[in-house]
Amino acid sequence: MSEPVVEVVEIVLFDIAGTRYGADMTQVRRIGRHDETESVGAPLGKPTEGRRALIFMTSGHVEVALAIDGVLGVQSIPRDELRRLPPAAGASPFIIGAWLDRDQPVLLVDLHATNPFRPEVSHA
Amino acid sequence: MPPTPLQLALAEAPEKGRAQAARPDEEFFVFKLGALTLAVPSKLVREVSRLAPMTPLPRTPSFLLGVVGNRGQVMPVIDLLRFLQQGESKPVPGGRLFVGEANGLLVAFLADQVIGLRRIFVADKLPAPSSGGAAAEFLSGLVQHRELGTVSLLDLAKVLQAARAAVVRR
Repeated sequence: MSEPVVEVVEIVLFDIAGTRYGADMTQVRRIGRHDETESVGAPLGKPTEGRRALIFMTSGHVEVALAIDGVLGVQSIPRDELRRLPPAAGASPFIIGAWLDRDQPVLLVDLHATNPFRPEVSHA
Repeated sequence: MPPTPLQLALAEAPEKGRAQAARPDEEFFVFKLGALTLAVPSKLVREVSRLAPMTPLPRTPSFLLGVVGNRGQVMPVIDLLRFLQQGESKPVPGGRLFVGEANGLLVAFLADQVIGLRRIFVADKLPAPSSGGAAAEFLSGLVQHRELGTVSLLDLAKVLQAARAAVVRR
């Protein structure tokens, strides 16, 4: 059976050092502080002043945090406004595409792919 | 009646003028960037637009400034000054982006000032200086232009190929 066509996705928009990013809402477990759990580091750059973090679960059911400056909101984005990135952009594996907010691209992040401990290893 | 000098001359005159020796030329898109005047074959330039809001890309080479949205498409932006190791571009009033296309890659480039299209005679091309450092590798030649001074002819296909290789390596 083929996958259902997704027409609209819920994207969490967040800010790191003045740059907006987005991530799939279903990947985010909660918003927390960056120091309350293991961090994935700063793959998108270091936050300038924020102490917040997007907390998500690895497939090994371990909570990890991506430090951010702040959450800007959740937005329903139609598929037509999503774009894959051209190969010449040489984006990191965790940048999986962009949302064209009018003419301004907002990079979309696969939170799981920011985890440097992938593939999942034992955290026991 | 003997023929007049005019009639004699006309009898030997050719039916059409002798074709002038063709002097092949090529059309280039010319722009300024920093202290450089650069040119790329116009057939490789798809469009010129105003500077658009740019989104930086994490973990990419410094010459790759980020991405912009252009006609519904996300496009990488290259700073040629950084790529050619000739410094770095600063945003200037009236700055432009031009979209270049080669080998199936579509990339936007910064330009401080667009000069426009100029025809350059192939015979006027001089070889790029062998001691020109990193930049010379990406030049197909130089031209001493009466109006513009020294114009560096950029090998855009080579630039895009090397830029692509540099970002993929990382």
